Amino acid sequence: MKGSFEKIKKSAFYAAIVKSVVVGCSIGLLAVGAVLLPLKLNAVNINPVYYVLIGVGAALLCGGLTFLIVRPTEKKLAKLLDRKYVHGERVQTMVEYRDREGEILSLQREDAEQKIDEIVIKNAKKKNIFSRFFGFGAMLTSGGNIVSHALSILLVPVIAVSVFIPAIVVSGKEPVPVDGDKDLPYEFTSAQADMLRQLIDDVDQSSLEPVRVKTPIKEDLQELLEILPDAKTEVAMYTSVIGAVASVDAIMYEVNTYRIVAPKIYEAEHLESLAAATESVVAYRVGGVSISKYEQVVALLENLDASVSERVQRQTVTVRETLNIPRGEEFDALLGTYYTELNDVLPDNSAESDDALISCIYEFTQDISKIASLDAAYADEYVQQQLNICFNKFTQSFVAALGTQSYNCMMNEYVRTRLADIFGVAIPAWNDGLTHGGSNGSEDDGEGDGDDDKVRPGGFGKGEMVYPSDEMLYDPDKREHVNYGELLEEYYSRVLEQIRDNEFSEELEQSIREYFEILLIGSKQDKENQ
Amino acid sequence: MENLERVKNFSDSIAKIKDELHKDVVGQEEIIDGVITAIIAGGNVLLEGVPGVGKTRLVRSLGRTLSLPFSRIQFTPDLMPSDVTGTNIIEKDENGRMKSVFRKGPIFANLVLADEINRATPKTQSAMLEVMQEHKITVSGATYRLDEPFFVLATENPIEQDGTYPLPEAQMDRFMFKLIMKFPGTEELADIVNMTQITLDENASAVVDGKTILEMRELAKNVPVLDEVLMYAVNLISNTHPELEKTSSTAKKYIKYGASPRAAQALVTCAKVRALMNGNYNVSYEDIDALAHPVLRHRIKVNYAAVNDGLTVDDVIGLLVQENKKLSK
Repeated sequence: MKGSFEKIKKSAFYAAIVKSVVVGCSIGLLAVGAVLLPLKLNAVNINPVYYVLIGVGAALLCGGLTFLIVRPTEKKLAKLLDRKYVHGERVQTMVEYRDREGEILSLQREDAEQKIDEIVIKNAKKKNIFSRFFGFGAMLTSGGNIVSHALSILLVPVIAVSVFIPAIVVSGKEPVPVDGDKDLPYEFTSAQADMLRQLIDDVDQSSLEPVRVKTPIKEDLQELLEILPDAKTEVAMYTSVIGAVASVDAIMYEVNTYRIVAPKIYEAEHLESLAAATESVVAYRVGGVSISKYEQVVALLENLDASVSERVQRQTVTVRETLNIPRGEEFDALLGTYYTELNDVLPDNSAESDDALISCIYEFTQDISKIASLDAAYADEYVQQQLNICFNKFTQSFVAALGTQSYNCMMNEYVRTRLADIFGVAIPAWNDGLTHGGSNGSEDDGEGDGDDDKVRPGGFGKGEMVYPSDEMLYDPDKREHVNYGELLEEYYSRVLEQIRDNEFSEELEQSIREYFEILLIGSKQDKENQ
Repeated sequence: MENLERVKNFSDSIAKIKDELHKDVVGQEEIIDGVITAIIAGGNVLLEGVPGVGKTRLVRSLGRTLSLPFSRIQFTPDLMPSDVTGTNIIEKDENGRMKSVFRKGPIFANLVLADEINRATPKTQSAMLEVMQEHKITVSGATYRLDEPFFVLATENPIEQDGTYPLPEAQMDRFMFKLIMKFPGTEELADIVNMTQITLDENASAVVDGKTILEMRELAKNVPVLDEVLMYAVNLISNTHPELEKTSSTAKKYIKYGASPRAAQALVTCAKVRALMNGNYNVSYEDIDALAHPVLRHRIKVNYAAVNDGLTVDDVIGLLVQENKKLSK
């Protein structure tokens, strides 16, 4: 085959390529736009490489498919030519018999080519986009009219561009910072500065020991006040605040020696009662107190001596009563055990220690030693009298020492909670590193001192049940601290509503009711006692 | 050049034959085209027409035009097979001895007009049809081959008469075409009357010979047929069979018996001839459609539904052609 049909084939082929490229590129742009726009609007950022991959992949796939569909085979072209122009199945017969020889066949070919030539010449003047640029073959395979050209050439790219350009132009939403994501711009506000200054004043007005506690804490807070204006990001602010909290914790750690003494007392076999007494340091934490106002500290301080004193006295009396026996082997052995165990509790150089708690325990051991060494000639009554004096002295000094350290803990918690509130950051919960015996429902805040032997099972302890209904609790609904007793009743009524409206197992319902009834009993007793 | 010469000769020959025939036959273009097509294709034609429309004159003129011996056999109910084929007779030779000599019957010609074939007995009909099929005669053990090209134009009178023996379908199938010679139109009738008033002589003269016809036949065999066109023709024949699972709705509704494979052969063979006659060098869909009626009208039998709907065989064939066109798209 030569001449016109080959030319028609070529031009149709090129037109198919152009169409495929146009469609492929359009689909590629459309794909990118369709993916980019919703991601932008939903503040999702992905690597730009993926957009390129999506665009190129879509373009290649659709362009390839388009080419497979529109590519002109000889058979298709021949059929089109016969149907539209040549007629009589001439071109198709020519294509089908092209590889065979024969007199009629060669005449048939010549006849078909001649007819094609006539058609091409006749249509050369057609003012058709495809015909002009790509030749008769392109026009033939494109339907030969402007409408189909517009649809295939213009419409798809127009749609694609109309999706792609907005996707590029539209500015997407900024991603919402997730909780904990502090790498955002930060500005130290005047309100925060005022609140921080107020905190410094509260510390200044407090009853903290001036030299070793108050002043260093004030200095740390003052330093924070000076550093924060320079903090430009959330991360920088968070680092500074946490640093200040850690510094305050370290100061308190140094002065709260109950943390050193308590674990050792727990180890002592015969000093269980005194171990329970050290719980009084955190007795104020009953009911999950969260100290966010200085007024709470003041309120707690008013009852601090009484609560600590009551608890310590109870425990020391228990120990004292064990010595209400005549002098003899048993008496001596018991006194010696108390001396030894208390001595083991003390750190080295306790004699020179200026810590109140260490000193009182040290002096207690000295007093016990003196009583143990009294001559046998002294009467039992005298010995018991000396013991009373010794224990009274120890109790008073023990109460004072524990009270001071309990106040330190309160202030420590206050400073931490206040800093968390002022700057809106999450600070690890206060934890004195000890697990407490669970006698008063005090919280075990997590880390502990790492020694599993000191972990005691929960449940009711050996001390008396205390229901501090006069404690203040933070009510999230009212956004203020309210009396524990009031909150408890309200919570109980809500719980009862839930029980009524939902299906609980009998056992669970019973447990819930018992829990609140116990708390309420205590609350009622306190009210009656007031 | 040689190719072109031969094809040009083909077209010229056809034109000459037509011109000569028109000297003796007025109008009847379709009949003339059909007859010429059948002769070149190597088939026989069944011609249906009322008496006096020019059937015999056509065949006689054709014989003169093609320089081919012509004979006419008038079939009657008492015609015997030997009256057609010939028979052995006892003759004295020059020495006076008695010998058996085969006397050829009227069938020994190139062009035979079998007039009113449906008047002959089935026995005589089958003798005739056997010759038509095989182009040879066997009498008393001796086989006599007929000269090529051999062409039979059989006629049937469409008016039903007593004493006729309609050809069975199997015999009808041996005719390549069935052409219907219609009563001439007014103008044509006027021309006939004018012409025959002057002379009843037939003026067609020889323009080609039998050898040329055979060459044209060979040439036509080489005309290419597109596979799709071939399938189009095959589907047309298949769609005449109502018993087939995939068939036309027309066949299912109106046809009792469909066409045989001979119809497909005849269709394609004659389409090649027609293409060349029209100056084309390949068979087209149009060629197939144009030959559907002459090829099929004597090969299919319509059912009562067609009769009830007032449809003739030609009407049903028309529906088949339309349906085939739609199905082929």
